[in-house]
Amino acid sequence: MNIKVLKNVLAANDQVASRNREQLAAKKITAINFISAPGAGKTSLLEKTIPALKQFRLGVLEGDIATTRDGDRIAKLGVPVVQLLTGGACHLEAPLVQRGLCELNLDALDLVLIENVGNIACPAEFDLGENAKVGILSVTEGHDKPGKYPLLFHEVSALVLNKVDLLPYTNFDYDEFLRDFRKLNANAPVFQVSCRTGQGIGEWAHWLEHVAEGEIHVHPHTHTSVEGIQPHSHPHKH
Amino acid sequence: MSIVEALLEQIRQETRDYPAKRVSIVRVRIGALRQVVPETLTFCFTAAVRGTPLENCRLDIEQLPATARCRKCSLMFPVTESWFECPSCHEAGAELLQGNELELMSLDLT
Repeated sequence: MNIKVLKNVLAANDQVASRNREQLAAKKITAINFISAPGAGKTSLLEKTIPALKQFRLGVLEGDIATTRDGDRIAKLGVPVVQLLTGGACHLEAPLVQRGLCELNLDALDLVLIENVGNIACPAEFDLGENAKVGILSVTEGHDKPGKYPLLFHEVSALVLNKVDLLPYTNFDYDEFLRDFRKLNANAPVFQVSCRTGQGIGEWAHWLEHVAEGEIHVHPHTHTSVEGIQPHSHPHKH
Repeated sequence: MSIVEALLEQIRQETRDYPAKRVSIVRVRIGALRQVVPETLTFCFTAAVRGTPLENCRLDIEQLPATARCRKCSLMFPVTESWFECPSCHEAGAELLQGNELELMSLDLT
C-alpha cells in the first residue's frame, strides 16, 4: 500500500517556530536571527549594536555548540542573555529557541536578538520564529560567498559587511560582491561596518531601530506559509 | 542529520496506524535551492535506520530544479547562475515558483 504524505520534512520545527512567532507577536517583540560564518563578527556586532539601542529593552539568545564564552561577553553589557547550547548541532532549531524564550522575561522586552551558531549553510534551513534574518559577511571571507551560499543571501532582510577596515589589505571586490548579492536579493540593504573601529555601526543600528519600531517592513522568509500571522507594528514601550 | 531525524519522526507518525506493515520505500523531494545534498541525506538516513524497523527500506530522492518568474515581464526561467535576475529584461527579485521544497511525498508499505 502507498500512503500519500506531502508534508514539509521540517514541519515539526516550523510548527514550533510558528508558536514562537505568535508568542513574540503577542508580546509585541521583534526578533532578529543573526547568521554568519564562525569569526565573521556576530558577537562583536551585538557588542557594538546593543549600546546603540538603549531606547529598547533587549534580550539576547546566544547560540553555540559549546561554551558560554559568547554569552559571557554579552552579559557584560548588562542585558538579559540566555546561552543556548546545541550540544553538537551546527544550527539553532525552533524548540531550543522556545526554551530560551521561556527563560527571558518577555513582558519586559521589545527586541530579541538571536545569535545563531557560526555557519552559513544549515541555519538558513531552520525557521526559529524570527521576524527577520540578518546575514553578516566579513571581507576576509571573500566576495564570492553569495553565490556559494545562495539560500542565506536570498533570505536575509539586511546584510552587514563587517571588517571593512581591512578592505585595503584584501582582494575583496565590493562591486562584484554587490552584483552577485543583488541577483539573489534585490532589496536587502547592505551595511558596511567595522566592529573594530565602529565605522558604519550608527547607520546599521538606525535600520534595526526602524525595524523594531515597525517602520521598516521585514519578512521572515519561512519555507512554509505561516497562516494567520501578520508582521506586527510596534508601539514604543518604555 | 537533523533533517534525517525530522524525516524519521515524520515516518513514525505517518505509519502509526499500520503497526503490522513494513515501510519499503520512502519518497522525498528536494528543491535545488535547499542545501540538502542527496548523497549526504542517503548516507545519514542509512546510518540512522540501522538496527531499526526501517533498516531495509529504500529512500527515493526526487530533485526539483528551481524556477522563478520575473515580476516585470512575467518570463518564467530556470534559476541558474544569474539567480533571481531575469535573463530577458534583467529585472532583479524574481518570484521563486519552485526549488524550496523539502518534502516527504509518500511511503510504500508492505
